[in-house]
Amino acid sequence: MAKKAKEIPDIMDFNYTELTALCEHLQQKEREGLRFKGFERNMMVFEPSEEREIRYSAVIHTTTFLLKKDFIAACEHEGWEYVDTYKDDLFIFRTEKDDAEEIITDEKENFRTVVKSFLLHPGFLGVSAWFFIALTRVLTHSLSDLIPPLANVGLIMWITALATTAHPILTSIYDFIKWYIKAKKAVSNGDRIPFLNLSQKKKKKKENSIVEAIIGIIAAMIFAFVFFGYTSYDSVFSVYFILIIIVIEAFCFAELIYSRRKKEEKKSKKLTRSFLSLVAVAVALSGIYFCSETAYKNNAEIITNRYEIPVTLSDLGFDDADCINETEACETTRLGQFYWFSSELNSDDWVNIDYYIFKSDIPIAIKQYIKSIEENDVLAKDETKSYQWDAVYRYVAGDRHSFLEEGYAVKGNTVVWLRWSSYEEKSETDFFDVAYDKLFG
Amino acid sequence: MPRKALQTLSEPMYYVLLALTKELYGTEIMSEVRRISGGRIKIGPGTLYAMLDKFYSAGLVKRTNLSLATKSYIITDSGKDVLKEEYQRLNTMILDGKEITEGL
Repeated sequence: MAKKAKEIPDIMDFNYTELTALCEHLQQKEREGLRFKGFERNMMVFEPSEEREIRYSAVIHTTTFLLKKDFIAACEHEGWEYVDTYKDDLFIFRTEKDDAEEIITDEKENFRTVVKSFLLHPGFLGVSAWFFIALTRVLTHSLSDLIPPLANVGLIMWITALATTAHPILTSIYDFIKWYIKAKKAVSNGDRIPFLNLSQKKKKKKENSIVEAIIGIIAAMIFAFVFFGYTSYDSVFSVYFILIIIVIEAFCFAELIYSRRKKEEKKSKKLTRSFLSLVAVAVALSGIYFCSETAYKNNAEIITNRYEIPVTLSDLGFDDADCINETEACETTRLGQFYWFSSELNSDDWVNIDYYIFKSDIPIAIKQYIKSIEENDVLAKDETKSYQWDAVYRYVAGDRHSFLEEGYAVKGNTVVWLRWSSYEEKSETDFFDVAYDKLFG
Repeated sequence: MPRKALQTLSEPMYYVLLALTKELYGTEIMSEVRRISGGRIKIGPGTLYAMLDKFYSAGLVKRTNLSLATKSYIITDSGKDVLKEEYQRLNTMILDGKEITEGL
C-alpha cells in the first residue's frame, strides 16, 4: 500500500484583495518543494513535491453549481489545471505552460465580482455586524458605568467584544476602501486590478501586529481598571479577568514578535503557532463566558433597577456654618453620586430590599450623608415615638450600623444604606452581614 | 428590464452575443469570438462565464443541452433585440463621426 504523503497545513490568511499575494505565496511554496493540494476549512494544505517553477491563478468567480463544472472545463481547455475552490467563489488554478491564456480578460467585470464577493463574504458580514452592535451598545453607556461596584458587566462584555473585533474589522474596511479607490482608477484607465502582492502584504501584517499590540494594551488597561474594582467583590471574576488579560497580552505580543521573526521561522513552527493561537482564543472566550455567567449571576441578585443622581450641596442639607472650614467642598457643586436600586436579594428568607449607595471623594460629604440617614430616617421617627425602636436596636460592628429593618455601612468613599421590608428567622445583624458580604465580598 | 441593466454592451459582451447567434458551448464561444474579431478579442473563461451568468439572468441567452454535462448557449429574442440596438448605436456613432473625422 502506497504511503500517504505528509501534508503540511498553513493558515489561509489572504483576503479577496490580496490575490496576487496568494498566487506569489503558492508559487514560492512550489519553488521550496511544497505543492498546493487544496483547502481544508481555513487552512491551505501542501504536500512535498519536486521544486519547480509554476504559475498560479486565483480567480473570484460566483457561479451556480451547474456552471461550475463548465467553467472549470473551459479553464482546463485553456491549459489550466484546477486545484481547489475556497468558500465557493475563490478558484485556484495552476499551469506549467507559459502561453496559457489568462482566465480573466475583462478587468471591469472582474472588479465588480471581487467587490461583490468581498462585501457579501459571510465572515466579513458577521464580524461587521458583531462590531457595530458592540459599538452601539458601548456608545449608549456612560463611562461611569465602568466604575465598580456598580459597573455594568454587560457593558464590559461589549467592550471586550469591541476590543476583539475593532482592529480586524476596521483594518479590513480601511484596506478595502484603499484598494477599491486604486482598483477603480486602474480599471477605468484600462489597467489590471492592483491586487496586493506578497511584500506589501508582509509589510501590512507587520504594521497590523503593532496596532494589535497597542489595542491589546488599551484593552488590558480597561480590564485592569474594572478588575481592581471587582477584586473585593468577586474572587472568581477577578481570577478570570487576570487570565483574560494574560492571554490577550500574550497573544498580541506573540503576533508582534512572530511578524518580525517570520523570515527565520521554520515551517514546522507555524502549525505550533496556529495551535497555540487557537488555544489562546479558546481560553479567552471560555474565560469571558465564565466571567459573564458569574458576574451576571451576582448582578442579578444585587442590582436590578438603577437610578443615578448627582448629589449637590443642598441635597445633603449643608448650611454655611458647615461649610465655613470646608472651602473645597463648598466650591464643588457636585459632591458625589447617589445610586438607588430597587431590588430583591435572591433568597427565600428575604423579601424586597432597597439599596441606596452614595459615593463621594469628599469626607465631609460622606459624614453629612451618614448624618442625614441617622437624623432623617432613624432618629426622626422619634416624633411619633413608635419608631424609637430603630435607635434602640442599633447595632454597631466595625463599619456596619444596623437598626430595625435598615442599616448602613461605610467603606472608603462609599456609603451603602439598606432597607428591607420583611424577613424571617434571621436577626438584623445576620441579615445585614449577608447583604454586606454580597456587596463588599 | 434587461436593457436597463445592460444599457451599453462592452466590447467583449457584444462579441459574445454575436457568437451566440448560433448554439455553442463555453470553449466554442471563446474560439468563435476570436474568429469573428480576427483574433483581436480574447475572452478568458472567467470573464466568459461571468458574462454568461449575467446574460442568462437578464434573459438574453438561454441554456440548451441541459441533460448533458456541458451546457450550450444560444441567444434569445430579447438578446437579439439588445444586439441589434447595440449595432444601431455603434452604427449611429460611426455615421455621426464620419463627416467630421474624414475632414480631419
